[in-house]
Amino acid sequence: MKRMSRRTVEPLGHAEFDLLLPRPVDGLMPNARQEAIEDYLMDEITRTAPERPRVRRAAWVALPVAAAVIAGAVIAAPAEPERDSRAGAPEARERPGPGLTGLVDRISLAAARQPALEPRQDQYLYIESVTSGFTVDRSDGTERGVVTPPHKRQVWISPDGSKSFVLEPEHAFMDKRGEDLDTPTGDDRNSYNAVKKLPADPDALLERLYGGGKPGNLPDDWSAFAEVGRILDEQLTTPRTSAALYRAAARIPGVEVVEKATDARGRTGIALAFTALYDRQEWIFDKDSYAYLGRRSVLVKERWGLKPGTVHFQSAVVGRAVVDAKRQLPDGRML
Amino acid sequence: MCAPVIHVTGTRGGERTYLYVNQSMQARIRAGDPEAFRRLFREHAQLVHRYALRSTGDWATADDVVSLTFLEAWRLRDRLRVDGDSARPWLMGVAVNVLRNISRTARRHEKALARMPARDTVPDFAGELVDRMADAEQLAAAKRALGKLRRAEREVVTLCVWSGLSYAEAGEALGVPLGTVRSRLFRARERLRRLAERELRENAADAAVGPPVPGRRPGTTLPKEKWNR
Repeated sequence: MKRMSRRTVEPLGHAEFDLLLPRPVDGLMPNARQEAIEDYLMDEITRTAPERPRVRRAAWVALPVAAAVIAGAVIAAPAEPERDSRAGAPEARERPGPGLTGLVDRISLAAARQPALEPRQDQYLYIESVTSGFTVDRSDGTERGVVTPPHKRQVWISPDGSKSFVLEPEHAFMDKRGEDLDTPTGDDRNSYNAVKKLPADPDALLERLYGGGKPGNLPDDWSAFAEVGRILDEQLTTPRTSAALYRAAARIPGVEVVEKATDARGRTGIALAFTALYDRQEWIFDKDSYAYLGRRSVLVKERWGLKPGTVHFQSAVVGRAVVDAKRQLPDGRML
Repeated sequence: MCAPVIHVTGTRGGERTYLYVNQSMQARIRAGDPEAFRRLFREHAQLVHRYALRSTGDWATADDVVSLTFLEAWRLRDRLRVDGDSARPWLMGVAVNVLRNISRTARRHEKALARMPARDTVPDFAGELVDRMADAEQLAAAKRALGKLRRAEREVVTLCVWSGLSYAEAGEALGVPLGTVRSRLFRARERLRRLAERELRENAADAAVGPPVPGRRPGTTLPKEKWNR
């Protein structure tokens, strides 16, 4: 690797920081690595080569959440202590169950029956979840892919998405006291308001999910499925929209039913799943009430040194509510 | 003020001439021209990488952040303004957002990330290994120092002090007014100074009371709230 002398990019006028902060490393990416990433990126951006920017696809995505819950209430799912040790295996896909259409019908109905959470514009959506995910451990001098233990995450999001606060003390590098993630520019792509405006008609919705991609083309299918997953995750959406989202998702080629999947809180449910190159993403629903429990991603191939079957991301909803301020809990207490 | 807009950090030649074609470069990126995007990458890959590395203190994560930043940049390219001087502040804004929530962005590009070429974990020769180890210590120290700052301060410090963006560029990247950048930098400096001062006092306190008592951190008797704000 060519190492250049200490770079001169540090501008004048920050001299005081030199005394207060450790000397930063150059962090030069080796040329070979830069070239490899360049080649990779060029492959990626020309892979599907959409005519128009793919911004539209993600533009509306993000916040609100599906199925779920009355203000402040905790999902009363029957806790099943029996955890499957083979967490990753897609168990008995063909066992008698409601089947894809049947399952989606029930999930959509359950979603549509949920009372809507309707925050005022000056209020916040509060979502508490249990989550774990992939990170890199370098503690013993080598790089090792590890999955963090499940831990608590609380978020407060304004309906327009411009203000939010995240408290996840066990996160690898977020502020232990929580972080304000306000976006002063008022980007509302990911907001409750934006998702509320999604079409309730599954066909129109499906078109939006594909964002110009073609059903039947694996990357496009995957990306449409993942979009729904992101809306489900930690989001609040109207019962009507979430019902439509499930129906739309069921039409994505490759979507299947996994009869038994365990969420981050150890609850076992039935899942809608999609398998891509390296992993299978599952959305898990309660077997009886068909309420949304959470989602997870399971490796189907070795990746980052982790074995197939490893759950490398999971997130289970504990409760959702409308509150009046950041740091306010559903019972009115302030953190 | 921070550095002028011009320095370009790539190791490949020809950056100067790009200045003349920047306008159309930004328009071409917006229009989805892959070659314009390649040029954006070549000009800014090192800048983004260094920013990511210093922010995360981790080589592997920095690699992911570089890829994610450019994947996001491509995805969001229709937000690139064609009237600016350079795509740099916009791109760094994308990097800031990626760093604010790496896992979420990673999920968005899960599939693309799965195709990312593997890193060479074995250094080419011993000299590099030694460099790497020294770097790792420095990175850990930098991460500890940054960890003492609030996120908003951390961002301006890494952008202005360690990545050489001007206040105006940092403001554009973060979507805040220039004055805010300035005051965040000021607060960051004040906070670091207070912390440095506290460390000195704690060391002095240790010296005064003799060897540290096991299980008790030195300096715990000092009125922390005074310093911790």
